[in-house]
Amino acid sequence: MKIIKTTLLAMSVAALSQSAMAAKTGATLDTVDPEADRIALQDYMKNRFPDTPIDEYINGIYAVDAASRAQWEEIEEFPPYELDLEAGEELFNTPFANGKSLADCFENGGIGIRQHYPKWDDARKTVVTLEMAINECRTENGEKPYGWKKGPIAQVSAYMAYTSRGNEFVIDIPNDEAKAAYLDGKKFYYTKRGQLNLSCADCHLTGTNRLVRADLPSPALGQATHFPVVRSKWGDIGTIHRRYEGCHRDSRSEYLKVQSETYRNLEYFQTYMSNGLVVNGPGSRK
Amino acid sequence: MKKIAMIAAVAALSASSLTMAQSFQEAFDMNRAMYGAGATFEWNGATYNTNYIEEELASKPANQANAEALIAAAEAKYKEVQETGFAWRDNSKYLKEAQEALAAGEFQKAMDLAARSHLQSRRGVEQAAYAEQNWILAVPPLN
Repeated sequence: MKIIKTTLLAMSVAALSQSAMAAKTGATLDTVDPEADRIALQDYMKNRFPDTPIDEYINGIYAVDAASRAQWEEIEEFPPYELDLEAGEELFNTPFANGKSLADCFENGGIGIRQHYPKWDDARKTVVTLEMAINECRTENGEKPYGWKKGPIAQVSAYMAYTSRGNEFVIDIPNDEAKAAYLDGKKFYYTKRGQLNLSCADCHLTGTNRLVRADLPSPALGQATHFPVVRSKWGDIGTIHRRYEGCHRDSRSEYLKVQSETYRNLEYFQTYMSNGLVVNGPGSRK
Repeated sequence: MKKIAMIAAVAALSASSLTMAQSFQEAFDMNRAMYGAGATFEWNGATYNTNYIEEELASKPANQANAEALIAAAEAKYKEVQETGFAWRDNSKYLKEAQEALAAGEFQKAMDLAARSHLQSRRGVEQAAYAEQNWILAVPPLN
C-alpha cells in the first residue's frame, strides 16, 4: 500500500513538473511576458541568421536570402505601389460629404501614426487595427465603409504607413485585458491547424528561408512592418488581413473573416513582435 | 531521504515507461499507415481491423436511412469541430455535396461524402485537443 501511495505521488510530481514547465514559458495570462517573447524571437533569428542585423528584418525574406533580395531591389527601383500611394493620398485628403475628413479622426491628422497600430481600445475591450479605424471614421461621418482586403482601404492604409516610414513601432499592452488579446494572438500564431496541420510558426519560424515548393517563407520577425503590400501573386495591393485569410486557407483550415477578433489579436501579437523595428510600408512582395 | 529518492526515480521512470507501452491508438495508427484500410492487427491479445469508424459506417448498405443517419452524424460532428475553431477547409463542401447526393438518390455517394466530412471533423476535434496542450512547445524559449 505504501509503495502504491509513493508511486502515485511520484507520478503526480512528474505530471506537475511537466505542466509547470509549460506554464513558465508563457501559455497563460499569469505567465505570458510579451517582452520576453519579443526578445526570444530576436534571439532565435540571431541564432538562425547570425549575419543578418535585427533591423534588416523589416524586409522579410529579403533580409536573409540574397537571390530574392537582388530581384526585389530591381523591383523596388520602380515601386509597384507608387500609384496606390498617390490614390491613397487623394482618398485621405478628400473631404467627406459633411466637410470633415479622415485627418479629423486621428491624432496628428493621421500623419506619422502607423507605428501605434493596432492598438488596444480599453473602452471597447478590443484591438483596433488601422484599417478598422479608417472604416469607423468613414461610417461615423456618414460615409460607406471600404471593402476590407484591397483597393481603397489598402491604398489609404498604404499612404498612412508611408507618412510613418522610419518611425519605430511602439505597440502598447496597457493592462491584463490587452495582454489576454496578445496571448490569444500568440496562441493562434503557434498553433497547428487545418488539414495540413500547419501553424504560422511552422512556415515563418522553423520554416523560414526553407523552400515550401518554390517559395521561401519570410521570417516571423518584422512581418507586420511593411503592410499593406503589393504582392506579385495578387497583382495589386492588399492588407495584412488579406494575407492572413490566404495563409489560413492554405493550411486547409476553414478560414475566418478579415478583421475578425482572432485576426486582429493575431496582428496585435505580430506587430508587438515588431516593436523597435521601423515602419517601412507599403512594400512589395512575391 | 530514501523516500525522496524513490519518488524521483519513479517520476523519472513513469514518463519513459508510459511512452514505451504501445497504446491502442499507436498500434492502430502504425498498422493503418503500414497496411491501409481493411487489414487486421493484434493488440493486447485481441484482433482489430485498420478501418476508420467512418469507413465502417460508409460500408453499411447504401440506402436512404443509412445515408440520412450518416449525414446527421457528420453534421453534428461538424458543429462540434466548428465550436473548437479547428474546422478544415473542405469539410462544409463535402457535407453540402453529401446532401445533394442524398437528394438525387445517390446513397452510396452521399454516405462516402458524409463519412469524409465526419472524418475531417473528428480529426479537427483531436487536433484542437492536442493543440491546447502542446501549442506552447513551439514558442522559442528565452535563453
